[in-house]
Amino acid sequence: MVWWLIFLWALLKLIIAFLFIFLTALVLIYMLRKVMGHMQYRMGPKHHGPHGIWQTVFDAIKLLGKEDIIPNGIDKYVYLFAPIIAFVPSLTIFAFLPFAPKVWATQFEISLFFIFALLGFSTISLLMAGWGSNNKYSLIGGIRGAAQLISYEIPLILSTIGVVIMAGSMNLVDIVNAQVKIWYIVPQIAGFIIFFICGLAEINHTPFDMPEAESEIVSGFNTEYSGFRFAAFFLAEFVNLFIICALAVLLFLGGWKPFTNPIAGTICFLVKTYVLIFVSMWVRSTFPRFRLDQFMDFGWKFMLPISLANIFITGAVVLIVDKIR
Amino acid sequence: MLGLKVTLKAFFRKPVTVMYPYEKLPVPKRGQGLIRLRMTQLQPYPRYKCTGCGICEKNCPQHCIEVTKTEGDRQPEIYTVDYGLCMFCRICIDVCPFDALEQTQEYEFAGEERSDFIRPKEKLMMKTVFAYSETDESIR
Amino acid sequence: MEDKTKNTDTGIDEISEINEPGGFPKDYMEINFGPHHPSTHGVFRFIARLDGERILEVEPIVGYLHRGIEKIAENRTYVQFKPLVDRLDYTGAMNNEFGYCLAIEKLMELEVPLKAQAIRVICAELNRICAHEIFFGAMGLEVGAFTPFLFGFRDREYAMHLLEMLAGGRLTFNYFTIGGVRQDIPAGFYKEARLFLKLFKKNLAEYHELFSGNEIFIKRTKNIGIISREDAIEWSMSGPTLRGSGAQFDIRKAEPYSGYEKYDWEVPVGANGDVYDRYWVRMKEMAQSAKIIEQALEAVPSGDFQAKTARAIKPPAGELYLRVEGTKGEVGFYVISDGTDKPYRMKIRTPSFNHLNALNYVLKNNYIADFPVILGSFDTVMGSVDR
Repeated sequence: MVWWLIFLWALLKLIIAFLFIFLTALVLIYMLRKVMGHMQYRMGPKHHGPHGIWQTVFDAIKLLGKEDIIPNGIDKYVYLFAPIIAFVPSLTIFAFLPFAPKVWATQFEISLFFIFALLGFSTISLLMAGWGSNNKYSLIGGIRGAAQLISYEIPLILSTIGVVIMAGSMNLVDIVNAQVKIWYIVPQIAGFIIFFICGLAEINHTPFDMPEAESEIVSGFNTEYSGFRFAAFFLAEFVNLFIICALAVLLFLGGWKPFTNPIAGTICFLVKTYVLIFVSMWVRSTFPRFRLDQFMDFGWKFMLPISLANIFITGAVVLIVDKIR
Repeated sequence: MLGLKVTLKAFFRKPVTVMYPYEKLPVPKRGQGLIRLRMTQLQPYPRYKCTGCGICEKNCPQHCIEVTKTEGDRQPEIYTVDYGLCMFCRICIDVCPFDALEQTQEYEFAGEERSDFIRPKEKLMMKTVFAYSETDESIR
Repeated sequence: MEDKTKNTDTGIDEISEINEPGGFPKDYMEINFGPHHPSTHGVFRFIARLDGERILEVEPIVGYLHRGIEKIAENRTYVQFKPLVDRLDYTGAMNNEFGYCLAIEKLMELEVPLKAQAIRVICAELNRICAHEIFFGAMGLEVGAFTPFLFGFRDREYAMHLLEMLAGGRLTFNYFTIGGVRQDIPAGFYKEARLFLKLFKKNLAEYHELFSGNEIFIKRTKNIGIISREDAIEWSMSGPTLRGSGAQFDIRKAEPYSGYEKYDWEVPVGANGDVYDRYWVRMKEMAQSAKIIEQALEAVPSGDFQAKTARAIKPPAGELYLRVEGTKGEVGFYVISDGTDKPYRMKIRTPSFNHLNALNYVLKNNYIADFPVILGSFDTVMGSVDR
């Protein structure tokens, strides 16, 4: 009798996480349109609901009602499964993010490692979308995306190893609990900057949105998707944005500290995440995009050596401090 | 990096959007719009200044005016303008020897069929409630 | 059926160029950037042959906006044809009218009063600001930043409001007449124009902060699409595209018309001939246009705004070529008149058509990501190319 109660409780937590993801994606899309609008001397959506609150809901309903156009000559299963592979890992990662003490779906000892393994799936979905659509533009977009994502994943993961060394564990709750005295952004400032920039590159956010560059290749790997398949890619991009900002808050900005109450801790965590999301939207409105070879240069010649140096220095300092004590 | 400061300043300023059709910008006095026939007030009843001579019809580059004269009177019997062809160049206003045409500021004349655009002389202007600017206002 | 649009005589053998002996056999990818495309500045189609991300050859195909303007000119009188000239380069329409009216006036040996000359200069320079704002916005979009587009269009709105007060239209005007302008300056125009100029200077400084100094933009545009000075002259480029390559040639200074010699302004010239220089030349030209408008507004002479002409414009038989500095380059009108009120032949020389000829030469061996940047720096408008 006990085991199916545990199963039901786990299922309930997963369903709550699922609903939270959809709500977050809707709120983020609305926030992007409003923030980008006001930064460009115009207003965002205004008509549906007070200040356009229901705009994203209606957009989602419209996308659901569109005709399912499948182009000719595609590689069938590759084309059909690409949106699913883009969307499902993002949903799964949500189950591992702790929001406050006792407010998470599940945790285990190497949850950080597992999260990065799941984030790597977006590369495959990009390649599948690029190859599966029978379209040269998508192919160019897909290959660009694969090159970009592979080369920026390494500095992303390496920049968090400094935090892991200082905290001593890969469990996210332990990392947050270890930031009692000082948030890790202060000793690990280089790590934070590299994590943020590489995180933006991982989710194809401007200034790194070459795979779906609208100027040259008309929406890149997204070109042949319409209706809800496109909505899957679109939502996945915004959910990934939330995940990267949430990870940055947990690893560097202290998670839910200084509150320990579950409700206050959740609110504090969400506020910090939304501040980082605002910063990323601010960057999105301002900067143009890099060219492919220029940001491969940037990634391999600049980010990677700095993150390696960061690990080296952190390890050395921790060892020396331990020896002194 | 300086660009970030500009966008942040723009975020806190008032947006410049005008929520058409709930608010409309004032059209300056000379703004291009539909043309209409002028009426005189001299006679016991108002008459058109137009005499039906057809000079505007000959000079229109797009051939969108059709004029016929009334028998025995200096008034147009048929005066039709096809606004689907008209390019609002105002040559007809310039060449009229009787100063019978004038330009209004009406720009909202969208229709649902092509026949909506062929306007006879009674309906050259659709909405008589369109507000005309007497002066030029600033849009800042 | 054989595809007649394919260019079979390329002059280079691409397959041998990209295949090394003894290596994996490669082939080029042919991709069509069709008339519907977000970044081709109008309906422009070209077929690109790519090797990975490098462009081997580009074959432009034009004609999707051909309206037969030169043929229509043979069946309309000079006055009836004038509104159609606006629609050539529709971003800066007054400059086209300028060229047309000056050509007919020179044929008829008609003198334009001084007040009309000053008003014409004000209109032409305001329109130049409008056209360069579109360039600024489109350049932002090519590189991937969304914000400069909206900033540019916001200022363009103020300039178009001024033009609407004066001329009646926002995009196509029909304001110049053969012999002057159509109407006088309205009351309240001077105040609005001075306010606009003050705001415009402040906004130009904002653009430079936002966009021109951005490191990513500089990396995207420096040393890309370099055209040397001799090559630019050989390809018969003109306007800011030529001046970005280092040739100091502006028709307003070389063959001044309509009183441009009275004002004090400079011609900006670039040093290297890359995309960044062409962008910078246009930004500086906007500031110089504002300077000209300021000087012209101070000193509008009194008098007639239109010369006295006959009812029907009938230039004497003869032929004439006259060129003016349009917003994109040199706009030329070659008029052959046979004494009647309709022209015998009206040939229009537009700058964008000549600039597109050089596309293959400039884009060779560049990346596919550079093509919108380079095409945007040429600043073509398809109404001008196809006529």
